[in-house]
Amino acid sequence: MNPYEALPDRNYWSRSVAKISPFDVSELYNKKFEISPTDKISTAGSCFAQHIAKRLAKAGFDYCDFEPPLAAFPRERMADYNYGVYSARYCNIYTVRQLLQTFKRAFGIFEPLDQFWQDVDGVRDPFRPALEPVPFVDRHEAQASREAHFKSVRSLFSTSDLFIFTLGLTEAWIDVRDGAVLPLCPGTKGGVFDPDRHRFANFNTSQMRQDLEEFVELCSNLNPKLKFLLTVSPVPLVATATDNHVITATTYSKSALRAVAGEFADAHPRVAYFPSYEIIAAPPFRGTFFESNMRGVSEHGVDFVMSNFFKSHPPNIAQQLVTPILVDQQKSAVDVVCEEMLLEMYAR
Amino acid sequence: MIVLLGDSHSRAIINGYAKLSQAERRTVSEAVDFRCGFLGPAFSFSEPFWMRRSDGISFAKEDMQKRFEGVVGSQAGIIRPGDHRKFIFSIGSQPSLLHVPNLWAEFTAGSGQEDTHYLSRSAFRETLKYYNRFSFGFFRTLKELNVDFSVLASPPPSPHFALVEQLGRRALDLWRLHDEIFYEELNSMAIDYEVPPEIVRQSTTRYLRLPLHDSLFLSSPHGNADYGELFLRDLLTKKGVSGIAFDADEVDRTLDSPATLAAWYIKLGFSLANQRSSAAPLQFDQALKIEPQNPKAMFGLGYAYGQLHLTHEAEAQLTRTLSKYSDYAECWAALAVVRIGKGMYKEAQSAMENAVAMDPSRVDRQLRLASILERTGELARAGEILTEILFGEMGQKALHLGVHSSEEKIGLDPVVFETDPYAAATLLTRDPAPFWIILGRIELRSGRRSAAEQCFQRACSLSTAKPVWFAYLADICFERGDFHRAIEGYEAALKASPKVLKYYKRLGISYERIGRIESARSIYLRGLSELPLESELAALLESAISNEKRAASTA
Repeated sequence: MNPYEALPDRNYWSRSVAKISPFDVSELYNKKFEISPTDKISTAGSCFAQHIAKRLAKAGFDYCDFEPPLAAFPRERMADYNYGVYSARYCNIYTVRQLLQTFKRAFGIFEPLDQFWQDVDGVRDPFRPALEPVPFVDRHEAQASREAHFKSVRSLFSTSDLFIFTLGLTEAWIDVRDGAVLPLCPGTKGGVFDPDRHRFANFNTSQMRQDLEEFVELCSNLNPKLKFLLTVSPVPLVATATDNHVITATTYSKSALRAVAGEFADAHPRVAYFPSYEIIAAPPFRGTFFESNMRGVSEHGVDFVMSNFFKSHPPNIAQQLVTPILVDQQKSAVDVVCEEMLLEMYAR
Repeated sequence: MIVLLGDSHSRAIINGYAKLSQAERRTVSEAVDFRCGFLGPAFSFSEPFWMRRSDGISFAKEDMQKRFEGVVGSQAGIIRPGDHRKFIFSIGSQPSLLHVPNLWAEFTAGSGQEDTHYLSRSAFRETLKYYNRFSFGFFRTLKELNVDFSVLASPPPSPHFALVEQLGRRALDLWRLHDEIFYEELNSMAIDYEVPPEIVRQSTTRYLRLPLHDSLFLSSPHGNADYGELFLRDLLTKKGVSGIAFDADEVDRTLDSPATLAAWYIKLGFSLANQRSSAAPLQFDQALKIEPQNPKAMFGLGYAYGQLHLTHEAEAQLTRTLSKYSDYAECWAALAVVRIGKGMYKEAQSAMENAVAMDPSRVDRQLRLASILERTGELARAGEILTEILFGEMGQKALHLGVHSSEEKIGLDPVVFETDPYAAATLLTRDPAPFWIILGRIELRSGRRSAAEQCFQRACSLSTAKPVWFAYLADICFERGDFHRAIEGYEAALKASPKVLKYYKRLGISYERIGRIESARSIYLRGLSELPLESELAALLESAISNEKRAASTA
C-alpha cells in the first residue's frame, strides 16, 4: 500500500489529461473557501483580470465598484476612462509590488517623490498614466482625481470580503530615489525617461513573496474578514526589457508568478489560488484559447476559465437578472484596456 | 427677421421685451422683425426634439412645432437651407444636466471636494456632449444647411434652484464648468454664443454684477424681466438696432426689489433658513457686516439658528435683538418657540404673551400660547383662547379670510414660524386637528373626560390625524371600559410607534377583556419582539397563556 493508490483520477495525467478531450478536463481548481452571494468582491490586476471582473458581475455576484461613473456618463466611453474596468480606477496593476504600493499610497503610508508628470498636453498621474484619453488640465485636477480615487481604494479594502488579484508581470520600472514602481516605463505614456532615475526591475519569487506577505498583513489588520483569490494571467508579455527573447522572458515571468501565487496560497488559509493560467496556457489545451496573435485570450478561453470557476462557485441566478453590467459587453475578449500594448508602438 | 426661441431662459427675453416702451418696440420692429417665443423646458432638448426633412428641419415634438409656428407663422414652420431668418436659440446652454435629480449628490468636478467622486474636465466634457447630443446634432445640421444662427448663453445660477441649495459652493463650480465647456464645444463648431452684457458680470455693487466666484447669487435671473430686458437691449443693439441701448450707469435693477445689498442677504438668508440650510446664518452675518443694527438681520440670525436647532445661539441672538428692539413681535414669538424647544415653558409663555399682546390677530401665535399654557398648567386660560379661536370672533374672521394658496401647514412643531398672516385661515380650514387635540388635553386634565373624548374623536376623524392622537382616544376608551374602541385606537397608534410599551399592554389587556385571549397572546409576543427586555409584557404573556389553559380545561 502506498499513497498513490488512493489518489483520484485527476492526480494522474493518463487518466485525466492524456485520454480525454481538453474541453473535458475538469477539477482543476481546489476550492479553499466558499463565496457567498452577499460577499463583496473586488478585483485588480493585469489585463486578464478585467475578464474576471466582467464575468463575475454578469454572473450575479456582488461585484463591487467603488469608483463608479456618473450615471449620465456615456456607457460607450466608460472603458476609455477606466470606469467599470476594476473595482476602483487604479488601471492595470501588473506587479505585486505595484499592488502593495497602491495600498500604501491610498492609506498614506508611502508618498512617492514623483507626484505628477507635467507633459506638453497636460498633467498625468505617473501611477495611472493611461487613466483617461487626455491628461488632466492641471495639477489641481490630477490631485482631486487622485484623492477621490484613494478614498475609493480605502473603502474597497476596508469593506470587501473577497479580493481577487491577477498577477501579470514581474518586469517593472522603478524610481531609484524612493523605490516607487511605475506601471509603465516613463516616456511611453507621458513622463520622461531618465536613465539616472529610472531602473528596470525584474522581480524574483522571494521579492514577490515578501510583497505579498506585507500586502496581506496590511489588509488583514485593516479588514480581518477579507479573503484573497490569486490567479496568474496567461497573457504573454508584449515586450521585455531584459536581454532575453520575449518567449523566454514570458516563461520566466509566468513561472515566477505561478510559483509565488501557489506557494503563498498554500501557506495562508485565507488565500486561494485559481488556475486560470493553466487553463489557458497549459500544453494540453494546445494554445486553443489564444487569439491569432498568440497573446490575447479568446472569448471561448475566458468562457472556459470562468466555467471552471463557476463549477465551484455557482453563479447567483436570481441576481443575474438585476445586476447591471458595469461596462457594456465589449466586442471581444481581446478588447480590454491594456496599457502594456503601448509598448508595441516601439517595435520597429 | 430675428427669431429667438428655446428653453425657459427665453421667457426672460419675452418678459424683457414687454418692458420696452411702445416707442422702443416700434423702433425694434422698424429695424428688424423681432420674434421671440418659448419652445420647451431645458430638459426637453436632451431628448430627440428635431427631425431632418428633405426640405429642412422641423421640430419632432408636436407641442414644440406648434409653439414654433405660433412665433413665425404656420406657413413658416420649417427651417430651410439658407433660411433668410436669423435664429437665436436658447438651447443646451441652461445646464439641465446639473438638475437631473440626485445625479451630482456623490460627484463633483472643477474645484473638487473631498467626500465625493471626482469627474475630470475631460470626463465632464464627455458627459455634457452625450447629454446634449441632440442639441449639438441640431446645431451641426443647421450649420450644414447654412442657417444663420447663434446660441444664447445661460443666465447665472440662482440660489433658489434646488441644485444650489443642495450643493452650495459645489453647484457654482459645476455651473461654471458647464458654461465653459459648452462654450468651448460651440466654439469648436464655429457657432456664435450670445453672452449676457458685461454689466451683468462686471460691477460689484449691484446684484446682477456680483461675481460668480464671490457668493451665491442672491436673486434669480431665470425668467426675470429686468434681466431679460438688459440682455435684449444689449443683444438687439449688437444686431444693429439703434436707440434702445441701456445706459450702464443708470442701471439699478434688482429682481425682488430689496434696495440694498443687506436686504438681498437678508432675503436669501430667510429663504435658506426656511430650508434649514446651514448656509443661512452666513447670509445674516453678511447683512450685519453691512448694517450692524438692522433689526431684520439681527432677528434673522436668531431665526436661522433656531431652524438649525442651535437653541443656545438662537436664544442669545434673539434676546440681543429684543434688547434693542423690544417691540419686535415676531422676535418675541421666535424666542418663545426656541424656549419651547428647550422645555422652558414658563419663559416661553412670557415671550409669547408679549408677541400676542403686540399683534392679537395672529391666530397661530394664539394657538402656540394656548399650547404653552396647557403645558404650564393654566388650563382655563388655554381653553379660553382655543374656544375663542374655534368659535369666537377671531375664528370667524380667520375662516372668512378663506383658503390661502400657500401649502404651508402649521403644526405643533415648535420650530415652524409663520410669517404669513393669512396662514391662520389655512390652519383652521385645512387642518383644525391641533386645536382639537390641545382642547382635548385641556379637558382631560380638567377632569372632563367625555368632552375630552369628543375632542380627540374630532381630531382622529380628520385625514391629517396623527397615530398618537388615536392613543389619546384609546386611553379614554380603555379607562371607561370600551375595549373595542380602545383596540382600534391602540392598533392605529402602534402602526406608527411600534416601540411604546403602554400600547402593547393596554391593547393586550383590551383583547383579554373581550375574551380574545389568542389575540392578546399575539400582541404580547409582538411587543416582546420589539421590546425584548420588557418583563411586564413577559408576565402578561404568561398570565394570558395560563388563562387560556384554564379556560380550555374548564371547557
